[in-house]
Amino acid sequence: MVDTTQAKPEAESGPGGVLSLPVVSRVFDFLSQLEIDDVTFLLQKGAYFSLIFRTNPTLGLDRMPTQAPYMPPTLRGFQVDEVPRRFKMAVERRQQTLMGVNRIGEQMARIRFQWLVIPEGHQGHPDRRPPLLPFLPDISQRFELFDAELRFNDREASGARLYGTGRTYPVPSASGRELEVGAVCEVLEGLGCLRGLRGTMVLTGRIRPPHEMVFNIILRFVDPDEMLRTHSAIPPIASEEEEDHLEETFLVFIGEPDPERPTTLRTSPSGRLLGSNVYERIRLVDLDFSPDEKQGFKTRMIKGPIVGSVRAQLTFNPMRLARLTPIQTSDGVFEFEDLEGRSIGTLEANMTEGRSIRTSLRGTYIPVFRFGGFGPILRGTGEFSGARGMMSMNSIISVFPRTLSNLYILRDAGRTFRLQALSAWA
Amino acid sequence: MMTAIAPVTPPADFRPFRRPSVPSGQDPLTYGHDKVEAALRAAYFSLFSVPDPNSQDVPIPAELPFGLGWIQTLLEAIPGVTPLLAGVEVNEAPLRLKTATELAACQLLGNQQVGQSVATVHIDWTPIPWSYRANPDTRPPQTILNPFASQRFEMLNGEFRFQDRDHSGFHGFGSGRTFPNFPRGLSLKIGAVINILEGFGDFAGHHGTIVVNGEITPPEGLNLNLMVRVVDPDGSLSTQKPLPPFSKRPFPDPSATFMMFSGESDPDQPAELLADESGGWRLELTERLRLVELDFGVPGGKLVSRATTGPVVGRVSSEYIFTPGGRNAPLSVRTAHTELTFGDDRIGSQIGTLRADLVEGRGFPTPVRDLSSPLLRVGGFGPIQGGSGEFRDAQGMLSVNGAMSLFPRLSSHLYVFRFVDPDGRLRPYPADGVAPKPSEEA
Repeated sequence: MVDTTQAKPEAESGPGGVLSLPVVSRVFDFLSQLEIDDVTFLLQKGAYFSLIFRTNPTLGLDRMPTQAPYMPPTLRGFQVDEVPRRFKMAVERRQQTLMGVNRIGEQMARIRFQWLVIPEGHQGHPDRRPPLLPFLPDISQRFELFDAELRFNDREASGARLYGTGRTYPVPSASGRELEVGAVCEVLEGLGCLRGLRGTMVLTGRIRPPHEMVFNIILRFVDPDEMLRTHSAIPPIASEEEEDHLEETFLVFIGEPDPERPTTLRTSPSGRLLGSNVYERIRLVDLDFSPDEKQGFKTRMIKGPIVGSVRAQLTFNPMRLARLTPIQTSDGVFEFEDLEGRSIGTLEANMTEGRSIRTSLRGTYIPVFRFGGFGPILRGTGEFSGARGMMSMNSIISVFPRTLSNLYILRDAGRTFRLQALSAWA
Repeated sequence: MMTAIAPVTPPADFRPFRRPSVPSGQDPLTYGHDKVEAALRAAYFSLFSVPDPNSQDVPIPAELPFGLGWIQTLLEAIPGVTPLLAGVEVNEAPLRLKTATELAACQLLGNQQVGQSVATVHIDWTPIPWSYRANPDTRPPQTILNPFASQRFEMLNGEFRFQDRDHSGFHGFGSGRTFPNFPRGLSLKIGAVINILEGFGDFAGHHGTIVVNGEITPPEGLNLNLMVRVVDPDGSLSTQKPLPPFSKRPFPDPSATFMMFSGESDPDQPAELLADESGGWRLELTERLRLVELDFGVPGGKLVSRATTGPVVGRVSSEYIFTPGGRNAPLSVRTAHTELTFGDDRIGSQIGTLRADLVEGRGFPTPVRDLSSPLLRVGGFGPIQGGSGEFRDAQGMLSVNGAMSLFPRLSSHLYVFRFVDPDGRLRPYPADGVAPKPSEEA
């Protein structure tokens, strides 16, 4: 597996100019709607694991100095070995706005990886160490999660071997230098009860040099047979002591096709495929999981009411033969609504870096694409004025028929959009 | 063991405005609060009733007057056509029904699972005229079942037996009402209230009420929720320990979603008792609504119920209207202006509202040891009249099973909603007809 995140999206590639032919265009339109409901339903069958971990600021990280001759001894990465906790993200309507409810629960797993700085344009590989580069907290850099492994605390020590890349985004903060971070990893191998499952991990968080990190990870496994799904309630998180230490707010939504505004293909004047114009409805979503003696894990995803929409231009070429394809969005706008359907505010954010993975899925005629990606929140209006942070996606899309199931995680760097644990339900 | 319960106190003796004698200096509206709260404790047994495969229902054809019997003969000769019915001898095999109402992603969801058959039920189900006073002692005049119009009915000779060690159960008598689904079919939504007349086994000596909420397609189609509420002040029928798991089955009625809420007195809004011009009385009642999970089992051969209440998720306000039913008859109960509001306006959290009045109900004054005033067990039902938010366009039936005390003003009710929900919008799993995996245990 080669990381092609940095490969330039082949905007002018694909089936030549044939899309400009009316017959071909009609066939494409027909295929785009064929069994769309069934495939949408299939895409939504997934197992989600949401975790959060922070480095212990008193212990710090194992720092990895450069060892290259003739180079000054600077930091080139970290050796991370932490114990992620169960992390419940939800969003509630309050007054006229949407507020995140974040709960940190019990220790669930152990995660280990080498966080290594890599050059721009570098095509990484899980078996090949990258060239040596110093960690520079004042500039945006790419990095690799090398030799990564996540192991849950279940009886079988289920988990995954992972590989992926990401990027840092230096941002000003009250405490001085801080870096927003996003990364996408592919599950190279499922372990224990996750053996044989294909999945994607998206990591977002922040680094406060020299050694403080807070990362949320969302693992999404394709689970068409619903091996890990439960219909029963999952025991709630008992301890919420950690929540007050969380400086940021995570909001999670799930996107689905908007029947009133179907996704359309974007083609060049010569008929070449550029990507698509994506329109989605977004819903509240409740994700949770817990260990289970019989199944290994019980995971649950409950879709809530529609709370807005998102539109974006997707640059992505599904015709590429490569298994991994870069994917990006531009002009991305989330628009949120109140109960009466009136706009309460917008958020602009693009997936500036992403990676799609061609994935065969029983029940679909042609492979679908899992993808993960991230990018900074650019601007907020209305109720979301002042939002800053990172948008990330952990998704699965089908090109024929044209449908999707996109999980959005919005990470605001502050607590403005956080609902405290104390609420009417307390 | 068979134990008859003391007959219901004649309503003539039930004087709602008569203040109980309390020690001097004590307020009858607050005195004995803890004792009454304990007396309101109940054990719930939630069942989903389906036809008994070992004992078929027996339709009772109507006898037509004026030599019109040939019509019945003709109808009986046509395959697939049901003759005109005057009743059905119903044999049911209720399944264990585990229900949990959950709050997730800003919406309320009904999680329902059925297990194995746990009891047998026999009743003589008989339509009755509107003017007939339902009672367990006399046979009503013949009334032909009309699937196109709402009718009252009686449930005579009711016998309910659990499959526990002692074959616990009860004799009961009840009445209810049909609500035709026509023109969407010939099925009938039904609501009913049953009073326990006599308890056996673990139910011996316990008062109780059953509310019925579901749908029937005479003569044999049957999908009913039976919610048995047994007065259990000493907790002998209740447990908080985990219950034995059961093997799940596909839910017999995939078009229905059940949601249940536990109502309790709202200390901020005490109930108000008012005289009614018609000779009855009214109670303006506000209750807090909590999520509730209900299940029961037979660990070690003994029948026990497990109710786990969750956080407050809303409020219900209602005006209960009580009318004396006559000598030896229960009180007649209905409600007006009943609205359930989910969410909390004070913090701007909105989920939705539901409007559903009890169009028919019974009140059973029930003496309780150590209490100077009897409790009033109340059961009733009525169609959902509308809603907002998550419950916009909601259809179905509400049934209520509970008890209240007038001195002090305390109440405890279980609100059972059966929503018509063919798409599974109100369930935590999608409307693909996929039943929970059989291997997954409760």
